[in-house]
Amino acid sequence: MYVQKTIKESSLKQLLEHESELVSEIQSLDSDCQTLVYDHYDKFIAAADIVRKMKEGSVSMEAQITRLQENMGRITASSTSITSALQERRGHLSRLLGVHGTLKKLEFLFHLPQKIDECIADRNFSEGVRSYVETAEVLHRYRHMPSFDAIHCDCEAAVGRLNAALKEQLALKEGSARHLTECVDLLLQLGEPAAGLCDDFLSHARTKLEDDLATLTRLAEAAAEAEQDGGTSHEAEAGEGAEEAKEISQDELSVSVPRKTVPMDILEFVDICHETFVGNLWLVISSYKEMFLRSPDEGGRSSTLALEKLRTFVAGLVDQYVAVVGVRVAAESDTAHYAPLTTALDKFHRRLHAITQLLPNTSFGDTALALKVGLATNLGDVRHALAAPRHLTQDGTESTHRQLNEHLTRLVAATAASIKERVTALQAFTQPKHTFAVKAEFRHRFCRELVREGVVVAFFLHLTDMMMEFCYKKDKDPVLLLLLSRMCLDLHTSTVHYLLSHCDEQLQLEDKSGLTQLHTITDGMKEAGQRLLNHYVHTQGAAISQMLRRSVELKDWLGCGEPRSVRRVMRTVLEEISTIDTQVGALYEEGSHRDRSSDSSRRTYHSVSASRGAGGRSAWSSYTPSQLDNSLVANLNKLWSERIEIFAPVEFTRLSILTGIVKISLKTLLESVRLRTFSRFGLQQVQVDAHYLRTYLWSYVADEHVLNVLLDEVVTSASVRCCEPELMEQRVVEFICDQS
Amino acid sequence: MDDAPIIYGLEDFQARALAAHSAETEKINFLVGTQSLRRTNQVQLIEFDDDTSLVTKQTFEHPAGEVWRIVAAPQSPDMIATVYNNTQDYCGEFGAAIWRLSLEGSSSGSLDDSRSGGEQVEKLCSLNGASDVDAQIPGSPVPGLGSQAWSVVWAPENDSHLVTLVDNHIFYWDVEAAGRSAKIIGNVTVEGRGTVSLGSGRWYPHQHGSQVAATHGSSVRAWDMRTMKPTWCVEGAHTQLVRDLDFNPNMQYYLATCGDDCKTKFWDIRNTDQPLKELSDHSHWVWSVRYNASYDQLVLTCSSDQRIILSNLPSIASQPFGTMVDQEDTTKEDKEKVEGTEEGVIQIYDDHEDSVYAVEWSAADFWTFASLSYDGRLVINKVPRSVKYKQFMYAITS
Repeated sequence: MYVQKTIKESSLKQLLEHESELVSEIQSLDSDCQTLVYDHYDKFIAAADIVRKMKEGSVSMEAQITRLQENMGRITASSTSITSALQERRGHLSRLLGVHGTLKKLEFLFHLPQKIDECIADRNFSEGVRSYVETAEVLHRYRHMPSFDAIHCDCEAAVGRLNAALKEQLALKEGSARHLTECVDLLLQLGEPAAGLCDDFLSHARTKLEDDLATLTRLAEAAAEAEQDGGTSHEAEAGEGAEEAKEISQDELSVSVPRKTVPMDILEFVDICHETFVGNLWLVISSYKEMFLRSPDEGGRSSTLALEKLRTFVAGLVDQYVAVVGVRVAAESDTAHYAPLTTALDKFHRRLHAITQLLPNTSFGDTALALKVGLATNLGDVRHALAAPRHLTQDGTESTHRQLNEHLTRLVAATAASIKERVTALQAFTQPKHTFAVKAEFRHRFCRELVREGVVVAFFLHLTDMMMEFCYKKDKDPVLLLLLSRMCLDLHTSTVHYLLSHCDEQLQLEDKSGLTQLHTITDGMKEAGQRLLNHYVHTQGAAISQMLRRSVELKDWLGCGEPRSVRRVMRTVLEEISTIDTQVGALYEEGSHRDRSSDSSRRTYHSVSASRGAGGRSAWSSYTPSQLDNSLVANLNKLWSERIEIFAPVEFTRLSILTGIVKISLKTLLESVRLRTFSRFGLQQVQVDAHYLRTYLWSYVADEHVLNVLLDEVVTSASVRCCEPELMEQRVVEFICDQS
Repeated sequence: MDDAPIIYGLEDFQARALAAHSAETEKINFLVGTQSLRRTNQVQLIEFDDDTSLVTKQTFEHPAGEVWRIVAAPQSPDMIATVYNNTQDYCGEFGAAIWRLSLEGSSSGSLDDSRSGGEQVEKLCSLNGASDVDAQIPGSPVPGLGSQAWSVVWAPENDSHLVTLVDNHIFYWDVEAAGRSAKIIGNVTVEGRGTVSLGSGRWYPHQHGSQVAATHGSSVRAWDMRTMKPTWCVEGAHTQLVRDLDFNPNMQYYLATCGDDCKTKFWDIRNTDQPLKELSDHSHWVWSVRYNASYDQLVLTCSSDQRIILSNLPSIASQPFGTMVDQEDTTKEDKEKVEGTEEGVIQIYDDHEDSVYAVEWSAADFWTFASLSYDGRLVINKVPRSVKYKQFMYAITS
């Protein structure tokens, strides 16, 4: 096809050229083919030559190899013969060597008891124990042979001595904790029963630690004492004291306590605590663990037992320790410096925490917390104690009535401020830089139980109690009672609420369940206020009663002349009441007059008395000796009046308070009058006095009716107790009263 | 149901003197003395019949004056003593005397008839020893004043001994010949601020009745009548005046006082620093306090707040039948368990409408008591039955 195509498409000339190309190509290919054939032939001839040479060499080699084989056979035979010849001697030698070794060991054994004794003498216990432990097994194995048995016995005896020596060592007080550990370790290796050793070890450690504790206690107590002394002589000796403290506290580091210690800083104290007690305790615990609790798996029961022992041991000691620290901290009554205190406590806590980590199952965090409970309440108490006298002194120095109100505000503010201050101060405990503050549980408990319940709420309750106590104390300034009652009221209405919420806010307390409810506190406050107020009323009433009673008792009612003026005592009573009124008015609101319009004045009084009709004045003025009439008067009076509670509780208003006082006073007047006998003029004097009181007292009482009833009864009683009852003309009475 | 109180009016007399008719152990009798400055006063013997709940009375005129205090002789039923204010001479002069009542049994008839009864108390002897003494002691600080502080107290169970308290003196009388004559065999003068006078007194019922205690201002003082020397004293028993006192009839050393501070207090006279107990149930002065003679846990108080309060105080009471003091601690719990009666107020009686100045247990019936208010209303009440039965049951079981 290619040819046909070429033929068809190409010109002749092209075809010719193409043909000549093809021819030249064919020729060159031919020549190439020829050269290749020649080359291959050459190589073939060379190979054939080599094969021929190899054939000739191999024939000679065969002979040489055969010879070599023969020689080797000969060598083997000779070596076997030599070996067999030496065999016997070698066996003998090795036996000899074995015997020698055994003999050496035996010698060591024979010398062992002496050696142990030597060790005891040299106090080189560990050496002795090591040698024993190495040989013990051999001895044990060959015990059945009599000679070994003797050695064994000797050894046992020696070891017994060793043991004894060790125990003696253990019992020595001077041994340091590390030394102790060694001893016990050795004893343990000697196969002493672990339980007994535990006990020995622990009891020994306990004595040591208790020594430490005692030292610390002395320190703490010294501090406490010094704190007390400090109250009196602190300032004078402050300069000296500081220097002395430096010197002495350095001495104290060497644990020997000087008899008279000067208080040292709480931080130092905690440091010393750590160096002595906590350090030792740590050492004891760790060595104990190392020794007795090395393999809890195999130990099983005994090790748990040991662990238990350790735990109780440590718990006991730590309790003591915490108590000691508690004493020391309690001595730090100068609560103004919270910062060092918190730092100190922080250190303390951290160290205890280290121990806790060492012994995972015992949580000393709780104990530490318990300490802080005590601490916090301590702080609170100190504050209370401070607060109470301060109030008193303040009151004592200035009791000017005008300042009462101002005074009250100051008092309440002071209370509020001191509580706030306290909360803020206690907040220092929750600052996150202290480790214990980080623990959520601690925070929770601290905030809830300590600060809120223990301090703030406790403070309020304490305050309430204190107020209540005032009700039972005699010889208290009545103004103070009044002031305190008002303070209670204020606290009840607002301050407590405010302070509690402030406290909650500061401490971020959200969960209110289980906390003391606000209303329990405020209720308590209110009750305290009520009681104080009642007591105030009673005291003041009693004072006025006393005056009235005396005045009635001491006057000669039978021999007195015609009344010309109101008796002076009535004026004194009135003055007294108006003084009380100003006092009360300064603190309490007005309150409302009951029933009758508040503008009931002297004028309305007449209409009131008129409306009482036959029961009132008209009956007296036209008084006849008729007893029937008299009792009618009394009974009618009683019909109209409900029973008057004389010492009834009062409300927190000015009028109610004064009404209470007036009621008490008038009832006294009534009872006193009933005990006397009057002449006509005596009766008239009573009449004048009663009118005078009525005229001026109405503005002080809430219910004028009560006043009227009581005064009427006074006059009625006087007329009953009168030999010739004859009342004065109302006009004259009014005239006399107006004059005086 | 508890019995309703028996209310009895003294017919328009004021009254503050009430006594149990202590020598009469068959009938429930009370003696009342009236106070009137303008009429002839009376001593009324009021008999209450428990079965019929009827009140009969026998009236005796007491012309000497208004009666401030009345006591009945412990042995002779017809003998009484009164402290009176002499109204005859029209001046407030006080005196005391022993009188005889001509008793007629119940023949004086019912309430209505007795109005006409014109019997008088028959004066046996006067107890006015004050005049002798006054000569030696410069007179009372204020003229005519001391006269109100009279009190007369008969020794327990013995007609022949009696004391009177006048101002700040105590007179010890030996009454002879069935009251016909009496002489002073001892007297004490209480030193102190002049104006404080003795109030009411009581004989100490234990140790053969050799002591007398009396209120003195806000204190209670006691004297041994054999030596006329002071024995013990409760200083400042109340913050104000002490109004009355009474001894526990079954327990030695236990004393009750009441006063103007509205309180009733109970003391152990061996240790008078602190009261054993304090009651403050009244709202005004407490005028009188009385132990029940048999069941000493029942205590009555009356007050010018117009109330009478019956309290149950097992914690400071003996056992019903006078066992020893030192057993009290051990039996206290059992007692409360058995009785189930709670300590404190049993009942408040407010049948009075005026101040109640006197209250007395009946001498004949443990469960009945009378109270007298100033308006002349005498109320006879009984201990609630529930309390009574509990006490009774306990008495049987123990």
